[in-house]
Amino acid sequence: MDFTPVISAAFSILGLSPLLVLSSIGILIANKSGVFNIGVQGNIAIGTTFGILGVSFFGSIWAGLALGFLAGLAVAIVSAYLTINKPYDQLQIGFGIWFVTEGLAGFIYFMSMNSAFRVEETFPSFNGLDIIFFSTIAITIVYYFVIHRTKYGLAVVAAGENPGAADVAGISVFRVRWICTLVGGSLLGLAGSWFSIIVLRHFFYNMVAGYGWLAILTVIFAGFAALPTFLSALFFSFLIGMQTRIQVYGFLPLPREIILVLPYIFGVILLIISGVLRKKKSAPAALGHPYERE
Amino acid sequence: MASFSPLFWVRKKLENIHFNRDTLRSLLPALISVVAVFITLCIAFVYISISTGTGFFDLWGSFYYAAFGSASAIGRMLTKATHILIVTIGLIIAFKSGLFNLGGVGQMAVGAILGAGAGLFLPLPIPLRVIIGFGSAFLVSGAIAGALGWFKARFNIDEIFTTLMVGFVLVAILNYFIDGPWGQTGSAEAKTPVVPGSFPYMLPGLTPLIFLALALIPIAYYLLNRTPLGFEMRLVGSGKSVAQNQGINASKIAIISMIISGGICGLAGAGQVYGDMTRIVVGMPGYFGFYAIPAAVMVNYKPHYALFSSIFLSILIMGSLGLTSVGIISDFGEVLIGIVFIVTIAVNRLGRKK
Repeated sequence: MDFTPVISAAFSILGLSPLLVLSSIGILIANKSGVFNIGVQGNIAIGTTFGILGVSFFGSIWAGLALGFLAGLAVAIVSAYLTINKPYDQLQIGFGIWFVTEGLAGFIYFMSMNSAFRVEETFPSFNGLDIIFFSTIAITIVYYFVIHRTKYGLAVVAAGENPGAADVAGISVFRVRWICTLVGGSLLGLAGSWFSIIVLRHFFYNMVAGYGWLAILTVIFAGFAALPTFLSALFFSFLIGMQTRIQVYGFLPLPREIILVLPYIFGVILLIISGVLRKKKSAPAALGHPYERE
Repeated sequence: MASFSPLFWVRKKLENIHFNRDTLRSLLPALISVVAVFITLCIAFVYISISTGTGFFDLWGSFYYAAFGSASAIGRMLTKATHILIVTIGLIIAFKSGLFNLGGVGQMAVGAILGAGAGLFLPLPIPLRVIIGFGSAFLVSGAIAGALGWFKARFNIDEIFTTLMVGFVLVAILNYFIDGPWGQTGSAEAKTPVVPGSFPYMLPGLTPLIFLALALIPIAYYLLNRTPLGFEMRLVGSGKSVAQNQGINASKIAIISMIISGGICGLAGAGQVYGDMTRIVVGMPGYFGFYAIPAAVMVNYKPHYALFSSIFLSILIMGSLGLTSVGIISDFGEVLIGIVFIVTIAVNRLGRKK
């Protein structure tokens, strides 16, 4: 029996994974330090816009990725200022950031580009797995070792679990949270620009769909741990990749609209099941609580 | 009793309103966000007029024209405000008990499906179909939200993400009904036939649906501020342990408030069918479920002010849609709403002590 189509399908589904892996690791870093950013969707959207703009202005996909990275960083600076330095409700600020950035993403693109632009260049790839896919694995490993094996990681966890005690121990909670938010935000921007440049190859309205929300859900479902987050991000990417295949081969008798939301259906069911089964709380204790010095 | 005069009563009421610092402080976020929107629009219009060559005042003109330019523009603007207002009141009831109901979009989709289904297929007189449409919309979307509220209360599963994701799925089901079984044959775009019993227009673009929305304001105010249930809701919202010490069953209150909240959002969906679109079209709930969040936060979760914030956001949305006539993508409304939102949060927090 010839397994080539199965293997190539598996590779091409894995090839989609950097979007969710990068963004969920980005979210996880910020969450570990106690910053709950719900405006992820907009962060990724800005990344997609600037990715395509970078390619069209500088003519290189590396420039596009770099610009997307920087755009994500810029959004992260704004949201870090509003959620860390100011004692605002992080949920509400996240929504504000989401509205502004998702609106700006389309606005900036259509104001600066008059014609439809298509990215022709691509990365050399190994069966559909490009350099970004391998670097997501590296990023996950680096994340794991920094957070769980070094004293910097301990500082991050302390800032997320008990910022008061961390402050007493001489850790600058504000600095830790700022660094984590910036790193996370830039990864989100990178994920967005990778998605627009390599996968979809042009910009269209609302191109991020609901993948940002799916990334947040991935992190919560995985219980804020590195390896489960990586694996469940792969699983949800698999579901996203399966959508087109189910439509083409028709081996599930479901209407097209339902197949399009299959990842969300699985997401809700898995979130509920994992919530029912989980005995102890997995979220960082100070997640979503702005730290105010007495 | 002998000499009750209405004028005396009015004067007595007016004397009870104190324009002290607290009143001013509660008006401040609204004022500052209007100024912030004005500044944002000025910056954006300068940028647009430099890059496209359209005049600065022409842009203001098309923004104004789309929101207030004609009777039908005002009617459409008020209709959009109506939808936002109904969902906002629904969300306020959940917010007051400390829950985030982000599934407004999906609950509207359920309401639209049931409203249109009742209107299209029930073998009953048309007024009865409308009543059953609205009633079933309230009950079913309330039940869906209530089930998610139960998961929150019983297993502490974040209601933010469950309501949101279930919302995405429900909108997909709405799209399925339009594309599949209920679709109108022989039309280029996917839509259902016109639902019988749709409300007639009072003014161009404006249907009596707005009275339903206006009636919900005193109902929500009364429920939250004048009933034991509303008191318990607010107590649960202000802190679970306080409520439990008072012997209040916090889980029960959470579920009830989610049912009411989801049900009102369902009414908004049915209202969209009967009061605006006369049928269901693809992606009909739009972003109303999300616009309602800033509308609720802007007025600090007070239902009796929600009318103003809904109209304000509706003006921003319609005005930005008007900019498409000069070649600007309509996403700009979202930017404005986001800025209003952030400014409101910042200013709200400014006046409050730690």
